[in-house]
Amino acid sequence: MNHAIHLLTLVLLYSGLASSLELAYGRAGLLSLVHAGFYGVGAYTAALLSRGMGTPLLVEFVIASATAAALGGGVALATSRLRGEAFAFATLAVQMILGAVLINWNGLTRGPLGITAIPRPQIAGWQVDSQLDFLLLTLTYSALVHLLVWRAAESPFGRALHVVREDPLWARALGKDPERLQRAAFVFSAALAAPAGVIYAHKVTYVDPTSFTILESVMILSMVILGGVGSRLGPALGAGVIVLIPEGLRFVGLPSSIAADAKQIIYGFALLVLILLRPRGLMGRYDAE
Amino acid sequence: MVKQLLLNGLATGAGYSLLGIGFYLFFMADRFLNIAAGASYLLAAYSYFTLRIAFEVAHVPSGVVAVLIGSGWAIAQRRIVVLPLRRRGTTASGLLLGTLGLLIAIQAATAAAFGTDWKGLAAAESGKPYMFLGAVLQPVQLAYIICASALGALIWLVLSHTFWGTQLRACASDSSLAAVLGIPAWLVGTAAVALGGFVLGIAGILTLYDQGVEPIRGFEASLTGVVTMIVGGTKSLPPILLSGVVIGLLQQMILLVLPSQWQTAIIYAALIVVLAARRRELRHEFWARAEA
Repeated sequence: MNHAIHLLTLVLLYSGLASSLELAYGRAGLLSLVHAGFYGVGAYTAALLSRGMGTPLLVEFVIASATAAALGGGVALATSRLRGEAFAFATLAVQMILGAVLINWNGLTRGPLGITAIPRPQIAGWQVDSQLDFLLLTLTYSALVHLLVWRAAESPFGRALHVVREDPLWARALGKDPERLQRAAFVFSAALAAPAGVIYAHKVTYVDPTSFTILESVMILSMVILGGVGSRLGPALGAGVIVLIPEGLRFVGLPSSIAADAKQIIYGFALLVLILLRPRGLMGRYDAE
Repeated sequence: MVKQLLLNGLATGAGYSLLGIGFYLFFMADRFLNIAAGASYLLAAYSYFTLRIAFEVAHVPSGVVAVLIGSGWAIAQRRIVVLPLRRRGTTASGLLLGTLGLLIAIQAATAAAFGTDWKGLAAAESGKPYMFLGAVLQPVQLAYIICASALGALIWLVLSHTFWGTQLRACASDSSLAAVLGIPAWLVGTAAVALGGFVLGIAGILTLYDQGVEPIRGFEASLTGVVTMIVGGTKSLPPILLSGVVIGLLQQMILLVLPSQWQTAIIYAALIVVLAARRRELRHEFWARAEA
């Protein structure tokens, strides 16, 4: 039963992450490969604040989101006017630089050793300790992210983003600033990803650089593409499939030493097959490209 | 110390130039940044390692088989993945995603088969170092410089002075017109990626004698090749060779002010700077043609 709750918590966590990426990629058309970096910023912020200062959880959410948003803003400014593949490569480079920072800045992040003994959080007297508590917390996070992304997509901002995605020149002719709108979506997306890292850090009580690599970014992107770009529930569906399908590997009897690699093989081929055969994913409005 | 850093930078840069040459050939064939090309580097390295260590095959036959595997992979991924995607009208972003998924799967399969630990070949196997102008030159560093220079010169000559080279440049410039004029674009492109896989395979083999390889190196090789090519531009090969050397020198000279663990971050920072600074040219060189 505990394992089932753990899996459901993971699905909800990644559902929130995928939904936040869907705002930048699906709605704004920005192919971002740095999303795990924002997730990692959230996790490390929580680890440092809770261990160093015993900060309340809600404050950690705010600071983590603000930090990720600031980083996202910096990335967006540095890459403004880059499109498609160019933007993707730039974000990929940022992801690799973040990885280098997490591994090498020993004074802050403790390098490859990571940060251990992250305390369990409290919210207004509620001690978040058990698997069920984390399930409720993650459910709240995921629901909020989906709600915020949905409301943003249905708002004038979202409609403007839609035009920018389809035809930036048309958007400019209508008096909109495509780069500013895309930057705003990217920053918002980064801010929504960070709380997932906060929850992850407190749940696992340990963070290290290997949890926030480019492979994690690609996995989150695969969830968005599988679920369907431009779809409200697509990210949740994609997260469910990507998280749960490798569980089937348990019944295949693979040695634990290659189980992790087998998951990566599945993610990689899933992404390729989706682009080849079904670029709209399961419920998408647009092709993934 | 500065002399040693310069020599190290030259050798490292020669390695990057090899990666840039390989990626340039892939780019000429299909006009997009094919990140799965890094798998040629990876597969050749692991093949060579396996043949040398597990089967005790001699250097030359191992090298020949390894680079053939690198070339074979390049041809296979073009035939099975890239061309079907291009026929469907997939954009450059879609091609990037597809080839990214492919590289991740290949890296994971390599990790499952060989483990995630570093694989390298003993320094003793590569021979004794030389002294050059007061600095130490390792045999593998000399090999990088010789291979990059020789292959760079040879491929530049082929591209600029042979009929096939002219055909490849024609296809890269306008594949539709090339087809109308009867140029066998499929064959020309396949030969280009095969040659690119060959060059990347050589880079992979040399890395075994240098830093060693692990599965994630395929990805890093791809990014390094992309950086070298973007910094150099795609108009011709010599600037790419030069950009590799410049990046290698920069990476080494930065050691005068920063610790060595930040070296790889320099390459990625260079990529962001060049992408942002050259975005107008790149839009014309890369993205517009890739969408055609």
